[in-house]
Amino acid sequence: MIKQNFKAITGNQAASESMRQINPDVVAAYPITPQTSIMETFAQFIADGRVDTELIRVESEHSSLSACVGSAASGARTITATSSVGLALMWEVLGVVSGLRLPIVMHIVNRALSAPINIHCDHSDVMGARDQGWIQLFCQNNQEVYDLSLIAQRLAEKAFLPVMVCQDGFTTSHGVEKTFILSDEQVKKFTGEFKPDRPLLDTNNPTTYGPLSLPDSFTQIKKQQSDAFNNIKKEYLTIAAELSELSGRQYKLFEEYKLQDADTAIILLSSTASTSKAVIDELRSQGKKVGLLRPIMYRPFPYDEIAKALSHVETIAILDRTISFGAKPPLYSDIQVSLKNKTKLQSYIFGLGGHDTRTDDIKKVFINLLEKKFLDEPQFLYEK
Amino acid sequence: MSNLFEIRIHARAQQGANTIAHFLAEAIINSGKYAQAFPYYGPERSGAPLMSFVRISDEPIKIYSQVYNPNAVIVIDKTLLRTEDVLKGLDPKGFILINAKKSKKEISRSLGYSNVKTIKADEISQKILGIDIPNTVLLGAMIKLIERYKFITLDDIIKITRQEFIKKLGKEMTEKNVEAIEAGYKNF
Repeated sequence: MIKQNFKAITGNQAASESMRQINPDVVAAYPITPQTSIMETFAQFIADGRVDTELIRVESEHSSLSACVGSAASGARTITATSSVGLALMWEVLGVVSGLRLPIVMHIVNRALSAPINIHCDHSDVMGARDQGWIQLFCQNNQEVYDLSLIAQRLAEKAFLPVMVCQDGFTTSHGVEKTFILSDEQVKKFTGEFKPDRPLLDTNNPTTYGPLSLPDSFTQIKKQQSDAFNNIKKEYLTIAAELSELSGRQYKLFEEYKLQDADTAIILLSSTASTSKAVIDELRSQGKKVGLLRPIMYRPFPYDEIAKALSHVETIAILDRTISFGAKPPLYSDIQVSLKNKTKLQSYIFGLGGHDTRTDDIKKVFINLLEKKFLDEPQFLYEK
Repeated sequence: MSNLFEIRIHARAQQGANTIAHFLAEAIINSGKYAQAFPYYGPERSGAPLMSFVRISDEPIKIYSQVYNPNAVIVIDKTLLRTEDVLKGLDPKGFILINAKKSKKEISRSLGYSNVKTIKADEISQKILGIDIPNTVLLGAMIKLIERYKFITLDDIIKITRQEFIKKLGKEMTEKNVEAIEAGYKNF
């Protein structure tokens, strides 16, 4: 065990702490619940002279991400943060960032989209942005917010692709727990200096960003972007392995919990996946062969790797924290494609607008699976 | 999970429920055990009822749901006794700590629950801090009531309080809050 300092902090503080150690050149953000305290803490770091970051205060999230575009294109290490409708307001600019290959890291504190208005967690905000060319990492606790933020920074700058680091609003963002923190020197060495590729401010080598592309070139450019995007899994694993040498904490594309000999499994993202482990422990003590697969990297989606990890599992429930109106939910669909319709799957929708998911709810999912109760439609997981 | 101990705090927004939950968790984590502290907010406005939770264990904690079967409940604002189901899920062997002027007997009778602890935290807070913010008095009382579980000592919590409050409140108010914690502790 590597000896490390720890702090009792919230998920938002874990994000701010990673930002302090990364010391970005520019941060532009607009306050929105439950993200706000990331920026409050970070603004205090700036005020106290603990980072050199230039904080750009803006009038909206559309402007914050637009300011980040200018900053990253000019060659500055750039970070932002948002939630829910803030992310929705950034929508137009999300594709600009990824299309221009700008390595921006964005903390997303997941919150339901309006209406009805609701400040609590679900994944409808970030799931709506899953096809926008941003790498998406989902954290199950505060430790992962910290660790994956460091990995995200390296990955973004290695691949020239933007990364979203997602944590559950309130549950993670406002929950205090024990979080191990590397030393400032270790993080400085790990993240290194950002070496921009053809920055706008390199006036000796003038470059145009975002010119018009006509039908003769547009597809080719998008194909290159897509290839780059699909190739980052290996880079992620290399960077994650490098961090684990410092931290002792391993990160793969997904976590497998008691999955190796499981015949029954559930698949879900973020903090509720952690809650599910307590249920798995209990059912295992009763001799049930149950397990969990928790995607950490959701985009690009590791289809083949997941298919391999699930090849021996007979029945699976997939729990999505969002609705895809008129379609099967996103995580369910991705798993279904991975498994090529070979395994019996059941879809559930849970935790919308912060609806609390208890161990009993997860137990119900497992019991239905063990009793081979399957229903065509996604089942809503809440007490009726 | 062994030795799980869970606390639910009922308060209104701005009454400092999250602050004391945070202090409890931080002190416990610093002493080498595991803890979580997290809020449940209703509407975003001052005075809205809210709950704050603390979960304590000897091992890393996997569960991130709310607390449904608390071992202890704290009620910072007694008007919530009329509107909230403060006893919901409370462990029969547990207790409820209420900030109230009324006697333990009177409240026990109206709640229909025997293991009630009451403290005149408003009065104590008014006397020591000069304002009616009773959260730290209740924190001190809570420390005394859970002392036998050996999660945390009075010194642990005073240390965290000084560390967290000094920048926010300044030296004078920090020390008064320490005094409020001690007064709450000595009440039981």
